[in-house]
Amino acid sequence: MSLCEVMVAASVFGVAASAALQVWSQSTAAVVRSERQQQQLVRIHAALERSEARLRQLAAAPAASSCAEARARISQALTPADPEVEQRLRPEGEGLMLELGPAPGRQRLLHPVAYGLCAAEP
Amino acid sequence: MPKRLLAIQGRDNGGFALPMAMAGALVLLLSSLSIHGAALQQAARVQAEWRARQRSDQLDATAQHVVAAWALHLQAGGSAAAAAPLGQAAQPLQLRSWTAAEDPDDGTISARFALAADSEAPARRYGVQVAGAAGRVLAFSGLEP
Repeated sequence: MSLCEVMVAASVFGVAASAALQVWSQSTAAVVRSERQQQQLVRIHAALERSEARLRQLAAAPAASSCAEARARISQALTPADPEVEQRLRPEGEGLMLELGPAPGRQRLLHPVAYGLCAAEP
Repeated sequence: MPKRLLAIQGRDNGGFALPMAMAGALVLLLSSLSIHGAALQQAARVQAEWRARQRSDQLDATAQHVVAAWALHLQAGGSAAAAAPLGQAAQPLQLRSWTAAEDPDDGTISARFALAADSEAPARRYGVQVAGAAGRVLAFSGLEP
């Protein structure tokens, strides 16, 4: 075994170890990112479930006189409960679109007629 | 000593460092690639779950449009069983099935329908109950397959 062979062997192993470390680092970053997205998915789903439950409570009350009033009731009822979930309500046709983030996020239409908050209006 | 014998001796005296280093390098690279593959698979699984939830949101949104259109249709005196007016409300998704039945005792009308993204995609089923001609939805939910 010559010094030359030892140096070549060390170089080969060093290059391979360096490449493997880089790949492991990328893998770790990908796993962390996936875990974070999975947690976001669960949090956002829980926020959606809470919103749905809140709307069911609203539906148990007497119906609103108009769908505009029902939309206002929805806006008042859906207050953000989880600080790590971004929540936004925007008008969407006759209903409201509940957008929950961060990205990729979820969108849930809240149509006051479908939730029984008001009668259909021509 | 013949030259050939010297050459064989030279090979026999070759060190083990280079083969070991190459074997070690191969193990390191293969294991790191395997771990990376697993990480990418996990990422793909999470992404697929997001997409499935987002598709479900889209189906639910369309189902609400269908229900609202049906409630309006009933309020205007339309037939409970007529699915044709609701196909437009379901656009761009497909209204796969529609069955409605009236309960003469309490005057409510119940319907079950299925929506799908296209003809190949699996359908999601919904159930809705409306207070007759008043056009107010009493219950609406997605049904388990």
